[in-house]
Order: sequence, then C-alpha cells, then structure tokens
Amino acid sequence: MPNDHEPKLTVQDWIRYIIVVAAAATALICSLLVIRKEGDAMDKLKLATGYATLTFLFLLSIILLLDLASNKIDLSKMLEELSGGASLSRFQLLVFTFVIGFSFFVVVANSKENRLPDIPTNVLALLGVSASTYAVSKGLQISSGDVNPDSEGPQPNDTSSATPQNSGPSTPNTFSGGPSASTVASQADSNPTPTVNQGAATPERKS
Amino acid sequence: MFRIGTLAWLGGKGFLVVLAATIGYKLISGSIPLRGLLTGERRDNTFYFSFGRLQLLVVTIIVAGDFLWRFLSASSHDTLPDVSVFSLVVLTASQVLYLWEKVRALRYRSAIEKR
Repeated sequence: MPNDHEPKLTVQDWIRYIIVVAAAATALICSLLVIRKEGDAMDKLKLATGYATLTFLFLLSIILLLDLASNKIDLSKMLEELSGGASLSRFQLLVFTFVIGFSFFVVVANSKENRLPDIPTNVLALLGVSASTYAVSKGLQISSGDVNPDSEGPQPNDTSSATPQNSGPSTPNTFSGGPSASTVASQADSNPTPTVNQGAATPERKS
Repeated sequence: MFRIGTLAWLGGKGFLVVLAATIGYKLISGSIPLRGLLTGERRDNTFYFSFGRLQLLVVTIIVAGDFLWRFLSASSHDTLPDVSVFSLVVLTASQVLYLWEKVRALRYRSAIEKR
C-alpha cells in the first residue's frame, strides 16, 4: 500500500545521492590505483587512505556548497540579532574568522614541516576580543529580555531555559511572557498612566 | 597522477573561495539581511543612526584589511603576520565603546519600562 506521507525525491536530492555515490566510487578507484603501483606497502596504504579521504571530503564539500546555494542550509539568520535586525557583533566575528581562517589555511598549505604552524599571540587575542564582544552582546540582550519571539535562543515563554525570575507580574520583561520593552515603551508614549506587563498572552513581535 | 598535497591545496582553496563568494553574494543580494546593522532602536520603536556601530564597523574593516594586506604582500606565506599592539588596543576600545552604547540603550529602555 503506497504511503502518501512518504517524501518525494527532488532533482537536488538525486544530484546529492549521485555525488555521494561518485565520491565513494572515486575514492575506491583512487585507492586501487595507488595500491597497484610498486613500492613499500605502508607507503601505499598511507597514500591510498589520503586519496580516498581527500576525494570524499572534496565531493562532500560540493554537496555542502550546493545546499548553501540552494538555501537548503538557511543562512538568512546568520547575522540576525536576538531582538531582530542585523547584529554587528556577529558581523565582525564573521569577518575576522574568515580573514584569519583563510590565512591559516594558506600557511598550512605552504608549510614544509609536518605540523600545524604556530599562531601569534596577538592574533589569538584578536579572535578572543571579537568572540568575547559577541558573547557579551548576546548575554546583555538575553539578560535584559530584549528578545524577538521568532528569533533563535531562549524565548520569553521557554520554561526549559534558565529562568530564575519566571513568575509574577512584578518582574517586567524578564522572560515572563509580557510585552517587550519597546512595546511597553510605546504604551507609555500613548498612555499617560501606563500599566506595565499586564500579562499579555502573546507578546508582540518586534520589527 | 597529481600529488596529493597539490590536490588538497586546490580543493581547499576552491572550497574557501566558493564559500566566501556564496556568503558575499547572499549579503549583497539581501538573502542575509543587513537591515539594522548601523541602527539602534528608540523607546518609541523608531530607529536612529548609531555612531557606536559605525565606528566598530570601520575599525573592523581597517584591522581585518590591514591583516589581510600584510599577509598577502609578504614574500613567503610560511607564518601568519602578527597583529600590532596598537591595532589590538584600538579594536578593544572600539568594541568596548560599542558595548557601552548597547548597555546604555538597554538600561534606558529598562528604566522606561519600570516607570
């Protein structure tokens, strides 16, 4: 009996499967070609393993890039702040990670020694400063409750996360399910005697 | 048959370049939204241009560009170039300024909320 809920394979799925099979086949053929050559058995084994791993990783990275290009891996929230909008702390961390990561790869590829190159202390400090800013920025937003309900991370009504003050209307906007700071602020603008955090069932979505 | 080191070098370099190009294209085309990158939010939900964010963006571009330029213009690529202490201090000060502005904005909104 055919199952109606069974997902249908798209063209991209088929391309992905074909690439994986081709990767496995190419890795196997490369290994066999290397093994058939003359030489020391241990060297041939190392070389065959290297070719097989390299071929498989190469074709696996093609699948990754295809998924990125076709939005199967969603990057639209990569730079999104918890309260909505783009986050500069994420952006600068992305820039430094790419620049230093690319440079490190080039150094490893050009290295004549069989070990990873040393990283200067100041470069590590640079990455540390950048990542710390991102972490502090995120911590500030979560601790102040400036979180968009649709974004990633702990949600105002998420009882599974750490919510030390999760009850009562006397803790405005601290994961209590009340309106966000901007919502209350806009109420304060329009109402001369605002009532803070009346326990709205559905917090308003920020921009 | 190609040497395995050459293949790894070409494959890795190609992957990083295509990955950077993909993310760059998504940034330019708007698939990764940059709306609000240089703006802060007031209590009445209006947005203002944030100089704290702008200075961090400029310092980030300068420090990252300087690092990349010194690496690419080096005669050999055997080691990573060091970052000067001055650059590190400027970057740290810029990040602190950005965080200070953020804390101030959050505290201001929190005070409005408690009123």
